[in-house]
Amino acid sequence: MNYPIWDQPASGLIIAFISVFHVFISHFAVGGGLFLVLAERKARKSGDAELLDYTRRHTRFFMLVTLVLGAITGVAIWFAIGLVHPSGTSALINTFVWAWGMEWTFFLVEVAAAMVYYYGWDRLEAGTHEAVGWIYFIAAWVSMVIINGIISFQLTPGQWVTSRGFLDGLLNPTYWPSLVARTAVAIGLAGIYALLTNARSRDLAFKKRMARWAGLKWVLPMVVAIPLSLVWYLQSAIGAGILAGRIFGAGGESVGAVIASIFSGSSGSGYPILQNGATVCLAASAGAALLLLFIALIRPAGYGLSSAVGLLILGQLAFAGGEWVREDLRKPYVIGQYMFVNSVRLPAAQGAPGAPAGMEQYAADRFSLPELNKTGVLSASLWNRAPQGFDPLAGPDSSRTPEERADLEARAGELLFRQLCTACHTVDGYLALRPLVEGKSAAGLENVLDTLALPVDASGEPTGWDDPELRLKTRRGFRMPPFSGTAAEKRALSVWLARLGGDPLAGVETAPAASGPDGVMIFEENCAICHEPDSDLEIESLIEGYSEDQLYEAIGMLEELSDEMFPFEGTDEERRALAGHLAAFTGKEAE
Amino acid sequence: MDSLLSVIIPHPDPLPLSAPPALVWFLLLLTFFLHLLPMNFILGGSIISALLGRKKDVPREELRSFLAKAMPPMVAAAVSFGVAPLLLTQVLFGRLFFSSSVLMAWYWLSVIPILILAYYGTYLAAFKGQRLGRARPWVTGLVALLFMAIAFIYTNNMSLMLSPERFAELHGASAGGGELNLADPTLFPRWLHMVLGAVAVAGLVIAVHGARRLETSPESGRYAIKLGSHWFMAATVINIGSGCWWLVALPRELMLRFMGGSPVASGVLMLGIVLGIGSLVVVEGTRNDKAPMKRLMVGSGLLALTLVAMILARDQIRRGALAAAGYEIPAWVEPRWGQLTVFLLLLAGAAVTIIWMVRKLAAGKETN
Repeated sequence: MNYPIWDQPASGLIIAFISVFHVFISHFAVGGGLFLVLAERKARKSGDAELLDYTRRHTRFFMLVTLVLGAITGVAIWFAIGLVHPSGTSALINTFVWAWGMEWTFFLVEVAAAMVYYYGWDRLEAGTHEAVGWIYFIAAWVSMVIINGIISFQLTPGQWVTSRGFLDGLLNPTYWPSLVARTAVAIGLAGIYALLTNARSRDLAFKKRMARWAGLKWVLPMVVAIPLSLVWYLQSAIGAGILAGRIFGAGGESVGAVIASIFSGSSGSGYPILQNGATVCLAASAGAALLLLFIALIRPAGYGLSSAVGLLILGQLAFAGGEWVREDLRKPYVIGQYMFVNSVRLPAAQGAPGAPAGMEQYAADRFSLPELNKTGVLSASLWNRAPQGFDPLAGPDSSRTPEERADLEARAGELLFRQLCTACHTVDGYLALRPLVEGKSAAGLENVLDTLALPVDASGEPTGWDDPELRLKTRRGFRMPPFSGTAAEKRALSVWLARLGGDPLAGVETAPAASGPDGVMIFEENCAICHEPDSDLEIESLIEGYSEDQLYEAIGMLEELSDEMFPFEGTDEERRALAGHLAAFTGKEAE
Repeated sequence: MDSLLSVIIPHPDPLPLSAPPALVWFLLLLTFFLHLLPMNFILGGSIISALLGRKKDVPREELRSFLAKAMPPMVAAAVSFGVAPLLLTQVLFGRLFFSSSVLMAWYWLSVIPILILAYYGTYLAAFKGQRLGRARPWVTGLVALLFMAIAFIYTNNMSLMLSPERFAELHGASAGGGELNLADPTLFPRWLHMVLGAVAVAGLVIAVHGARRLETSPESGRYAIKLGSHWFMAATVINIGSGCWWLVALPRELMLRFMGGSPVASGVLMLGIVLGIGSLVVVEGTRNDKAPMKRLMVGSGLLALTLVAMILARDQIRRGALAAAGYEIPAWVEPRWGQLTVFLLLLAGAAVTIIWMVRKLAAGKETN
């Protein structure tokens, strides 16, 4: 809206691919630094010439990987987030510019120290060389210490939501477990990369020693430490209001339930892509642990490059799966409780400091959810205005024919799709919308858009979007932001979606039925989106044995039947008609 | 629909700036200057290296070796010092910078693979050197082309962000991130001016390197001085022409700012030209100088000051263009002095640490 949209299918995946690649190297850049300096120290202390020689060779590999691929892909993430989420990037920069500045100072030292360490093997005295190694490691680790604050802030902004405090944002609820987990990953990766360069060692006695040292002293302890820190991380995230249980499709909001759900496979609910990420992480970790034991215990002198590369790939997959889960836990936000993935902002939380006198114009937010609902996305957007004849407040020009009005709505709907949905969805590819809306009516889809996400408080009761303890109640636990825009825009988007789903005449108004409410249509508009035949929540099996009167009662208390359901908001007559239609499934219509 | 044909300037975030804009501006220009030194060396140095020809005499080989070995650390320095100005550009001008970046997204993102390739190319040349055999000119040539391509992409983005009146048209043409700022008449002279400036800087560095080598390796030293000075002078002379081309390609109102319309803009440009010509005269005098180091150092100092003046002139173009477009930096500022102080202290600490390490390395080289 405020920025042009980079019209690429699921552009967020570009960030994901670069990030997954980058983190695997950047964490190695931290742990590998510690490995180098400790290996050098060990070699010098014990007079181990082979180890010293190996460490020197490993330094060149380390420098070529971390300084080029590591540093440049780090810049690449920055480029990519600016292209995919300019609003979110801008907010992060405005909030944490000096944190990034501080991180940059350590980055400078890190890069310089890596160079001096490499070129200093023949030029520096042993003590000075080791000191440079320590400088490198400390700078690299502190760099991670700072960036970790910004990454964890995006998931759990904590007190920052109301205080806007720098340290409140950096030292947020998931900061410490995340830092411990990342440090453990960095140390473990150092061992994995060392096993890689050691695979080509010709001195078999040395190769065996190094495989045992790197495998058993560096990687193996982290195989234990990483899961423990992730448990702590999940616990902290749940404590901070992340509905991990619901997202994982677990039975409840506890770490135990989440872990049980990961091990027991899909429960039919929750967010499938995140669940797949967790499964990949788990399977790859198990595979990596087995391969590690094979290398370090069974074939320490005889393992080859293929085993080492296999371990590297499994480690990458495990790490990628874990990062994927973290990213998906954050959805539908790009910055928790501040901005959704489609750049729509929440209103400032109650208690958050506003702008001082005279500066109110800067704090007024035309891209906040309430403002967009009032004025319209296509009015606020600087780049995609409403098509001529479509008013974001009043809808299509009433002087046009029904067909023309529907066409206008569809065109406006497509623009709204670009603004509001393409951050995650494509039409036919990744998180494709077409299969989700196939055969759905515009009215039914409008109903869905109405209930994508509702604001609730920590106890699940309805609340305002500016509640500091805001939680999202989302449809079936999907990680969706609420629809933003006016009622006319909501209808326009649903018309476009219904056309996408195969109805070329969707949106064309027809004369209302002469008789009373039609139960079939009410079912179609309100229930079918989840309860259509052949779906996992098929209605027939759910209401088996219910009489029409019982169904009528049940429709009045949907929220009590399941917290996945939303209250029925039709008239009593419509409720009766729906009960009648449902009773036809059970064969227990009222006489 | 009408507004789509007008200037698009995104709205500021509902968040305050964390430091007074003047301070951010100062840090932006300072760090840009620090970025420019190694960046000019790698861009200009790679071009000179690629154009050294195929002859394999000792002076040429020594110069090739010097350039090849210096290149990877200088790329690291250019990237590292490039981070800060890019960050601070986003603080002050993010609304325009993000917009122009999205419009040319694929080109902008392609800087990354191009840079990775060029960076590995410099390592290949540094580590393998002569062992590359016939492939060496290809490697150095490719590296030069890649760096020139990066410069071209940057010039596109830095010029496009100054033209919010073009945003709507480009966005209408393609929202897929496939646009460049090719219709801007300042694009090519701007790029050429930057590339030639880089060649001049690298030429002078080569000349200074030659002067340092005079005692230990007179033949190579003299060759480097001569070659470096020639490149410096040729590039600087041509650059006067490209600078004029850039000036006349500017929108009329903007051009007039540099011709008396704005005392500051005219002053910094004039100062830059005078300093540039001054450095030219000083370096020209080294031709028959038996101890040219002193002159070359004076020339280098003048060239560094020329760079400062040209950075200020470039800033005046940005200010003028953005003022004409109606862009304003938000007045809502809530300085975080504590954070800023920590940052500056850490920066000072980083400088001390880096200087200590580099001095140790240099001293080690002498003893080994």
